[in-house]
Amino acid sequence: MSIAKQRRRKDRRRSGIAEFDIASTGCLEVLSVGKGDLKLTVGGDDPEDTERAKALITEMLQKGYAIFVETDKGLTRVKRFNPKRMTYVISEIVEDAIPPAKTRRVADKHVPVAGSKATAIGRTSGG
Amino acid sequence: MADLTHEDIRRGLDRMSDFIGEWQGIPIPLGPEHPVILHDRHPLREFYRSETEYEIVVGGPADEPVADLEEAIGRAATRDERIVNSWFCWKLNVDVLIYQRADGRAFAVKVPRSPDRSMDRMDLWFRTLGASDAWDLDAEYRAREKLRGHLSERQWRHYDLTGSFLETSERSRLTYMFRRLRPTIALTPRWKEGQKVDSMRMMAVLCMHPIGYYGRSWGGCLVPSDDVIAHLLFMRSDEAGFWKVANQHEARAPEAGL
Repeated sequence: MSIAKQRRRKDRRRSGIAEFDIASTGCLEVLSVGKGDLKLTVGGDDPEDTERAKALITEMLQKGYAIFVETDKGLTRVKRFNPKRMTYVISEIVEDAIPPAKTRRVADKHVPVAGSKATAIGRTSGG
Repeated sequence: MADLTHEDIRRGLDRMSDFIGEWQGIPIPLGPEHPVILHDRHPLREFYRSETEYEIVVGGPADEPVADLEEAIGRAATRDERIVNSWFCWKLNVDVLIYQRADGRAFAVKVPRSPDRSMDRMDLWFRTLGASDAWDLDAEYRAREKLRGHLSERQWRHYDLTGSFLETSERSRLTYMFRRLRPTIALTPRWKEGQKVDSMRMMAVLCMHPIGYYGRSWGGCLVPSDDVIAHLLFMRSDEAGFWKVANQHEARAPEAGL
């Protein structure tokens, strides 16, 4: 593949246009009134399952659920969901060690739903 | 209908929530004694609110002289009246309730409280016991297993034996005491005079419930350990959000559970 083509694909992926095939499933646990802990499998090889997962996660975030996903840096709250890339979007603090001074900035990071472990909690307010 | 047990209602609502795809579940109604107070954006908020339309307010020790008979024996709010604001007045040791009539006019009712508010604490205890009818034991066991997966051995030992555990935030260096059926306590080692060794001061008592809670109790709609999981996950992943969402009780208030 030519460098230009590779770059174009990378740009498309960054802008959320590129689509990925999901090979494995993710686990989404929901704190539920009647069940305590409800485990849902999201995604999978079947396109129908993937569509269902997309709809489920999108609906949950729209309804005000808080979703927490486990990453290599611990638990992080999901900001958005990218249905095209099938990823959770989280914020991550990035340290730019460019001399002379170190700077810290917040950057978006995509965590693939496939293989992820997340917990969803319904709308929450003070008691 | 009269023969339905709480377990029947729990199972029925559980099946219904599966059917309509409400993954967080449907809160279990326990009658007007234990009103369900749901999140502002919950689709069933208005439905559950109608259950609490008639609110009986009974206040104060019986031997205290009261000017108004209404204050002594209680007050039933009619359909045309609703409580629009309420607070506790420390100076007078009374609860102040502001009612608003349909015509827009408002009036206040003062309800005397016991001097140390011990009876309010007792009331919260009893209502929390009553709220336990809403919780499924298996759900609580599952929640406990999930919570265990998030805790160290020592934290789990503390929780299992005492119902509370400590965790220090790496971000803010605040120490939180998470408690079952009580609000979370935030502690700091920083004092005005500087940092002290082996000494912490209480910053706030943070109360938060996913979905909703049972009024005048420490119980939420979710089983108690699920509420603890919610507090822990919010603190670990979105500490600022946790402080933003949670209600802060004064340490001396009965709701603080201290």
